[in-house]
Amino acid sequence: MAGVLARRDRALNPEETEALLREHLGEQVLGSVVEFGTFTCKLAPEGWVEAARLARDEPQLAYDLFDSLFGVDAREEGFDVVAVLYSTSTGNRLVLRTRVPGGRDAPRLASITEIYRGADWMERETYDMFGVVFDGHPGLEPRILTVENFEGWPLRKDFHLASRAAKPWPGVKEPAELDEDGNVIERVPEIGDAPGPYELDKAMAAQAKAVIEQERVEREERERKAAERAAKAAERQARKEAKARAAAEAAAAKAAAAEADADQQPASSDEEDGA
Amino acid sequence: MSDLSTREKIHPGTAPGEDIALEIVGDGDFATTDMTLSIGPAHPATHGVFRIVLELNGERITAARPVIGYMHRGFEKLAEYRDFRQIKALVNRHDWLSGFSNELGVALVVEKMLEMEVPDRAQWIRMLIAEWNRVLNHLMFVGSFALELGAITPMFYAFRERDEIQYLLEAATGGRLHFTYNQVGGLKLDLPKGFLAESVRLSKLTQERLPDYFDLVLGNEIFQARTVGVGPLPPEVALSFGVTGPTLQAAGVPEDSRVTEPYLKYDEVDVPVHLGENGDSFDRFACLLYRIQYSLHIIDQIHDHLPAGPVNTKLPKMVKAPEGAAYQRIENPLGQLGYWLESDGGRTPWRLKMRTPSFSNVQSIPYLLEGMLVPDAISVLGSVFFVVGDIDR
Amino acid sequence: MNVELTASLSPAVFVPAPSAFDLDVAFGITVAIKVAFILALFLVVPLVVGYMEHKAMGRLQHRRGPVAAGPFGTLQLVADGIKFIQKEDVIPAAADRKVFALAPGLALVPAILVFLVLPFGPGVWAVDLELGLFYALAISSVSVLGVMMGGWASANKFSLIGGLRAGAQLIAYELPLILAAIAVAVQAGTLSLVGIVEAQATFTLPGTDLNLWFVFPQILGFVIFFLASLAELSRPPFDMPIADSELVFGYMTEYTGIKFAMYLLTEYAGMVSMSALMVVLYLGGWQLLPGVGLPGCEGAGGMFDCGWLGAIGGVVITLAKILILTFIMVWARVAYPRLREDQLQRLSWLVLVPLSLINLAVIAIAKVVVF
Repeated sequence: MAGVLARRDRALNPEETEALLREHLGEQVLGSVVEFGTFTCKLAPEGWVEAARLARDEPQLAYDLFDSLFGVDAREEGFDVVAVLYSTSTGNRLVLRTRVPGGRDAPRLASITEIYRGADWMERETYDMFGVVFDGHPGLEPRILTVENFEGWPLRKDFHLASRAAKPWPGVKEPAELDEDGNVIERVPEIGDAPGPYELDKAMAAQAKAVIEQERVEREERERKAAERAAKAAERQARKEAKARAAAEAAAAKAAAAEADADQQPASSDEEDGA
Repeated sequence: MSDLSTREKIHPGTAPGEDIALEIVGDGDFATTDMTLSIGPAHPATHGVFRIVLELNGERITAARPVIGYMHRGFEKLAEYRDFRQIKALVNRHDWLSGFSNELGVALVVEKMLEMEVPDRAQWIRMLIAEWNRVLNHLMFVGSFALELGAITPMFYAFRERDEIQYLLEAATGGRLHFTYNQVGGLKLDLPKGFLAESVRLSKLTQERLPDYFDLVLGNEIFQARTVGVGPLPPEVALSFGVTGPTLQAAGVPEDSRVTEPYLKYDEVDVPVHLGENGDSFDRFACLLYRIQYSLHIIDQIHDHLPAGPVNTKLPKMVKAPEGAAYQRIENPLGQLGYWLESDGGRTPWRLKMRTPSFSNVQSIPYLLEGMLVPDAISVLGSVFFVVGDIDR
Repeated sequence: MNVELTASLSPAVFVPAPSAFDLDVAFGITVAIKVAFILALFLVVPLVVGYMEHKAMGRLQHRRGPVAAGPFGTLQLVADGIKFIQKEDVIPAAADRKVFALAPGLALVPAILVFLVLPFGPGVWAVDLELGLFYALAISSVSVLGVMMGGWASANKFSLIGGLRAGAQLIAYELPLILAAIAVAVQAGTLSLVGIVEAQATFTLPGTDLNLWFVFPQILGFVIFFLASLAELSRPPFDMPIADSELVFGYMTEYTGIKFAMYLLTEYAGMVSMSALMVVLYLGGWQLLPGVGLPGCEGAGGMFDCGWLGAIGGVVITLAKILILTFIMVWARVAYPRLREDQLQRLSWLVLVPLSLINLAVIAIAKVVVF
């Protein structure tokens, strides 16, 4: 496949990326962290749009694939908005993260729909789930996933799952199997000692493969024979043609000779005459 | 008969001489009013509960607005009330055609956070089942796309193959749609006896039958007339929308997580990717067909590599991910599936974001539909591959 | 038009060929027998074709087709019919009730009336009109009026688009259909369908005594007629008026129960009557093979004035040819996706109409010069 990660060797590492962002955004880069192989850059909300623009347009970054944008509940401090960007040319991933100003009461953030088309629905979803208003978004209403007249912001932690309010979470205890009387069945976990592939399994796979191999060999044999036949036929044809050509040449030679004879004949007769 | 009385006859409510109130748009002599056509929520072309509102001028679309959310089931909220090990039973339901790949993504992200070593055999088997799952999914779309263009037969051909593969996967996992075969740290069980032999046979059989689809659908003149040049998606627009999978590859972008960010053991096998040129419906469909072929190619390689050994690891009595956030992306059949898992150190996730391929792919539909004819809209809707549950979650 | 004008236009006085129904009994009984015959044909043959479609499609798609109702599923369509009758007759609140109720009937009645002139065997026809071909083509295109009425009266946008597409399709494909048929009429020298069969039975390749059907000199016309009749009938790959993945079910979307069944019956009856027309126009009617007469027949080419044996044999041959043609229609449905509306129009106006004109010109010149 041509062009895969064409600029992989020129990809910036996390430190260089952060330095580049800091160079352009200065104080608005609050810090960064590499967690489980993912580079996250924490931003001040004022630098949010500019950082996204930089990530897309800066040739050394070139984060062209807009992966996702979503909210995370940040307890008393309000909400975080996270955008995941990916570069198809360098293979790098950048996570931008910002704390939305306005706390839990009136969270507002600037929209990046102008930079990434995909942010449109993602921001609508974030609004639908967390109530974060995005300034400059073409239309957050009607609510994208929930029904139009839904009240509340479902993914906020203070929005309680109705079924959980009625019935405690079964996962508070370890998941357990119950018998007919409702008693917990105690099972010793049998994990970690599963067998490897079965002998029969291997034998059958080998057999199946052998059949395929056999067919391949037979096919090749057939093809080889056909090729041989074709070669022989061609050879015969060539011989025949050669023979025909030889015959034709012989005939031509004979004819030429006869002609020469005919030419000579009068000449000789002339000679004779002359003689 | 005078003009006036004719008008009276046609519009009995109009008084003589009074103008008939009709909103006339367009210019020229033959002007018509625009019509709003709501396709869905229950319509054969939306395969699921999905609605798209079209503004029509004649049969030409002037604007399209997808309306989603009919199948929103709140998986992200539900996941916050589940143990890390239980989420897999939730996520294999959002894209119901690729249940195994979904649960694989969750298993991988949890394992990443727990920094857990998964046995080799488990990883190879995961790849094997994931690729079979991909074939299953793609066969479904091969059938349904052709059906939307009016060809009924490929659907039945696809289901012939699908049924056999379903039986194969059922033998290993016990499920047909919601496999729940993954586990944090490996797989629930090892493969059953005879699975490999059957898998080898089926892979060969499917590869032999695959040319049927290339001939019957891709080589069909009417199919080409309906799809070539219809709904071209330029690569930069596709990337900006976050479109991935066969739809992105059709636009000529060589992006496939199995190649660019190999997970499991994809770096040890050859993963070919077919690229389109124009990103039109035809290329999208061709990419889908080639993905089936290449998946089977990968399956054949897995048959050669499958090592012996255990398939799962001992889990602690309580699975608690450390504080922090992790992101794992895998190549789902329809595109890139991303799971953002954030933990506060407790026993349930603090936040699980599902970045589903269908959601991003469907976003590009209004862009594609503008200025098209209604029949082309169907061709585009069918070739921007999506599953409604995967959009709405 | 008055009688004198007709007489002055036609070079010879038209003498209708004798039919087996021209019995020497009271006029009323003759009419009753004819009506019973037409209705029997109309109700039975489309069912057979429908069953064949189910089974053939099943086999072509790795299925078995219907198996449960009756032996080998033969009664499936009868069961379907009973089910349709039992269904609730739903009329949308916004529909134009009278037009809505009238439309399926208006689509169905012309489909029955076409059967009036179709000859199925030696002497097996209801009437032999002098203008038989003209009548058949004219009456079969009335059906589309019912379709458009249904599409308009349903008060449903999908239905409306479907009805309009059907109208556009009719206009586009009526022309090549008629132009192809005219070429046959020119070659046969008559518009009577029985006359055309007779002309084929006696037509020989100029200079030889090799008997030929019209399909051989007019293969182009036959293909055009076949394609155009597929489009007339809204059969795939020209089923845009129905287009279930775009328009739900086109003009039939709002119809339920017996009215829906009437539309379906119209479609199958249309398949039969169009196939029968093709058999008559191009495939030699009830002739088994070119030059082979029926047993016990004495008329032209061994095809007319037959006994009961010849009549039954002729009907069997005609029905077999109809089944073969309808099978090809089913085959096309299984193999092809549907065209787009504008592609369909382009095919008609830019390809089929010019080709049918060429066909007509060639046949007309050949008629004067060669035949």
